[in-house]
Formats: sequence, C-alpha cells, structure tokens
Amino acid sequence: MVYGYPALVAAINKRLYVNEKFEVESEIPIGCGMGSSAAYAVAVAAMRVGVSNRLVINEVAYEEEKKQHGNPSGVDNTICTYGGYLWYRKEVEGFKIVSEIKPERDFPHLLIHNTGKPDESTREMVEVVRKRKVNKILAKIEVVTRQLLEYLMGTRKIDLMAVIRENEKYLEEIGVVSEKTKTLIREIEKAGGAAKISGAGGRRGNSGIILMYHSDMNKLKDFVRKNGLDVFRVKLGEEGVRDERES
Amino acid sequence: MTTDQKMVNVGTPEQPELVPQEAVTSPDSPKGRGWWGRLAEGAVILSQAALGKLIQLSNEKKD
Repeated sequence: MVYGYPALVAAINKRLYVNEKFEVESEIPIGCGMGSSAAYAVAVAAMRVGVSNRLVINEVAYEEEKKQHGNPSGVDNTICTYGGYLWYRKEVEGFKIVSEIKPERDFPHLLIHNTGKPDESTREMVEVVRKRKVNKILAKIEVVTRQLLEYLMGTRKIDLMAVIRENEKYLEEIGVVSEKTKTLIREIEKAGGAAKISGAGGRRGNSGIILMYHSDMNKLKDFVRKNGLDVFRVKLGEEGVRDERES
Repeated sequence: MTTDQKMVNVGTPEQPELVPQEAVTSPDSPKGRGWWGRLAEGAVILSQAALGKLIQLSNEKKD
C-alpha cells in the first residue's frame, strides 16, 4: 500500500482472545503481516471500554498503535474493530479515504501457506522496491484491486482466478518473488488454481506468505496433500471485535 | 496497555513521521522486522521523503 494507490482490506476468521486478566490467546500467526498487533490493541481496548462502543475502541486502539509503530495507517485497527471489508487510500499525509464496502457476494475461502522466512530482511525488500521504477506496475495493480472491488460489489462479472494470477504476475515484475516461490505458484496454476504472495515477499529463497485459491477447493486440497504443504483456511469479510462470552 | 517505544522522527519538525528506534538500529531483530513488515503491508505508511531518510539512516547504522 503506497500513497495514492488503494487497498482492499478484509477481516479474516482468525481471532485473538483477551480475557479479564489480559491473558492472550491467538489464532492469528504472529509477525506474518496478518494484523495480530492491531487485533491485540483492539481486544485490549474493548476489554477496557466495553465492546459496544466501537468508535471509542477504534480510537483507543489507534492511539496504542501509534505508541508502538509511530505512523500507523489506522487501517488494521479499523478492520479489526468493525470487520468486513474496507477500501483504503492515503492521498497525502493527513488525508486518507476509508470507506466501508458492503459486499453483494461472499469472497470464497482461501488457503494460506507460509513458504518460510525470506533470506533478505524486510527492510532490504522495501529498499529493492523503492529503487525500482514501479509506478506503472502499481497502476496495473490498482486496476486489479478495482476488479476485486467489483467482484465483491457484484457490479461486473469478474474471473477471480484470472485476477489473482494477474496480481501475482505484477508482483513478480516488481521483483519480490523468488524463483523457488514462482515454481510453486506455477505448479498451483498448472493444477488449475491461482496464488499470490502477500506481504513484502523475498527474492532469494523463501517469499513469506502466499494466498492460494481454486474454484474447486477439493483440487487445491489434493495439490496441498500431494506436495505436503502446511496450510490453513481463511474466510474474508468476517466479524470484527465481539464479546466471546455472548457468542 | 504496553510500554511506549522510543521513536525517531524521519519526517520534518513541522510534519513529524515517527518510527520505532528498533526499525532504524536493528531492522533484523524480531521487533524491527515486524515493523518493516507492517510498512511493506501498508499498516504503516510513510511519505517518500521520510522513507528515503529512514533507509539512509538504517544503512548508516548498518555500516
């Protein structure tokens, strides 16, 4: 996500629990860019101010995020608080657009696989991308992001498989996907599926998290089994903060 | 909730853009790496100028 380009942000069905003693239990993998830090900030805020006042929970969690991370976009705590889907775009410092998406259809389940810790540091990966002229590619990724929005809104027939493949192609053009990960993704595509990296990626060995999708999930599960991949299933657009004692 | 992090201003005095000290001095530590991951994901956003300054500072610390 960069200035002037939009992001479609979704809540996932993995939860982080905080009890009255502020003990934490998390289904969200830590340090994988899946929002565990914001989920924690939101859960603790909810314990303090009560789960019914989401506006205050979001504000308290954002202040905590600022203390921890300096200049958070605010999108992680917002999605953890309210759930669902958000459209986010930061135009310039001090001006951002955050809009709730009311989807007309569900997004299908995805599988997530961790290819492993990249050889490069994330700082190196950010530097690599910064040195490259990527604005044209980012503009293409914006088109793809808008297609995902149209998919959710049901305003146009969108081939989800093609969109994910196209997104991955652009990420490979940016140069954040290793040969090893490209080989795995090509195999998934040969099996009729689609996959893309999520996060900073990695160029030399592993590339971190990849999202996997197939219109026939049983075929993807077969692929995963045959290749001995560790995966977990996520559903997007899920509920935000809630009192688990009530559910 | 938690202890405040020490922050470094990579923006300007008029328009501060704060980052945790560990992002500058130890980007490969778990906390430093976590912060850079958040930047890569878009959970943290810096202006281009601030990002340039951060990379320069972290390279100087590395050297």
